Amino acid sequence: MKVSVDEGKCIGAGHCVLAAPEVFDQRDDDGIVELLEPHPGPDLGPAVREAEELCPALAIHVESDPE
Amino acid sequence: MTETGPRFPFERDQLDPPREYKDLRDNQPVSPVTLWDGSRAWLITGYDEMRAALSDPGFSSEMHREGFPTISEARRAVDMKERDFIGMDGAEHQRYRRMFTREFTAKRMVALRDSVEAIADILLTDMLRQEPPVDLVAEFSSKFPALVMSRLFGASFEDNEFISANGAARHNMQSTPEEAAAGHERTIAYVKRLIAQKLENPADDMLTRLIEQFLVPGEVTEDELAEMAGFIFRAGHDTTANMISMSVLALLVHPDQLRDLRDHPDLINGAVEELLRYLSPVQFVPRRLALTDVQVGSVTIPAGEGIFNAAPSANRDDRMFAHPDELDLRRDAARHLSFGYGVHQCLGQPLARLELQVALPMIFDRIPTIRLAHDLSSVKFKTDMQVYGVYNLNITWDGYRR
Repeated sequence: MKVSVDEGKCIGAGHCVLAAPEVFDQRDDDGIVELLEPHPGPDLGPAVREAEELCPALAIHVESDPE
Repeated sequence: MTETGPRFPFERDQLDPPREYKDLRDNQPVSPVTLWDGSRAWLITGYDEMRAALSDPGFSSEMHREGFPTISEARRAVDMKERDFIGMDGAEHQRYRRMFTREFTAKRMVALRDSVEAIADILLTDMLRQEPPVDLVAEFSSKFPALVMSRLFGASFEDNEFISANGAARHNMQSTPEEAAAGHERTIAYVKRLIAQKLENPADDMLTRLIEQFLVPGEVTEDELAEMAGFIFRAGHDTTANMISMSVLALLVHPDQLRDLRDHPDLINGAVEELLRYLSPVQFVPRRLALTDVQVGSVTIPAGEGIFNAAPSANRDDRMFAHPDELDLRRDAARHLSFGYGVHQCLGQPLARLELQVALPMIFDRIPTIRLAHDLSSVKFKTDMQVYGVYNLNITWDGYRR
């Protein structure tokens, strides 16, 4: 799984940090998303998908690994 | 022929959304409505339609634009005056919103939890010293978020009634345009006095940080900072206060749900999301104006016409939530739209969540025998307010935990 974030779109709502704290954080100085793990393991799949789905600014993109 | 619709807004029914919403949602989730001035706008009652509309860049949030939809003449007067970032688009919106995002991060909320708990504990202890019945709205729900906001801003708690009264003048659908606009002006004048105090005596609070980071270097003017900070200050009062009172009421009238929550305290985070979904206190926003013809669902909103997004309806859409009219604390309600959606989604939502996650368990823990002092018909609902809630909630008990 490959995760990317668009810092320019991020509004700092923080859903991603609550959904998948292993993968996302927020910068201390402005609260904008910080990607901790661009290639999370399959066990984090549901949490990362939840973050993608909840992000109100559509700033998270998740690509599945090819089967 | 121009399609017209019923007069909007509709009145809510106790804890439920207006009765009109279900039919509209089932048959015409994007439907025309007629506003107070005879103009036409579009009401979005479907979940998918609301999410789509609020992500569509064809709509503007700039409230002072010609044709921006309003529910009253007073609201139009407020729209023409206020200059905070919820009424901005694009880069301008992002620039001002980002002044505040670091204050509401997930980490900041973890750090705030102890002091928020301490505030709730002090207020509840004071309330429980009184002889029941007491009014939970007056003695706890309205004071708690106000005290938290005062702490964040480094303002005096004694000023909170002033902030609340001016906010109420703005929200009340019976206010005259002059009353509503004056409420806004008094709030801004107050924040300017607070800014002057902080310039003189800097402290460890949000307003001082905003002054040092943005006002002193000249990135924003005093007027701009007062508009933005005044908006955040006011927004943190009513919404959470109404959610606390309505949540307590909803749980008291659903004793099986309350028992489940008391037996399983770890349900609280999901329970708060479900209460937000079920109660949806913010009634008629977000609003937008179509800048070009915009397709929402199967309807094309013509350029120059406005939309209202009804979260209380979208959150009861059975295409999204099974048995939507049932309060079910164990459902996954995280996708509710009570904080809106899109780039304007509520900035303060992490704080609102924290306050609800702290206050509700504390109330039910410390007052095991809490119950309504009178029957439900004695509760006066805020059918005249843009932020829905209850005016009073008289509760009683036989003993409590210290």
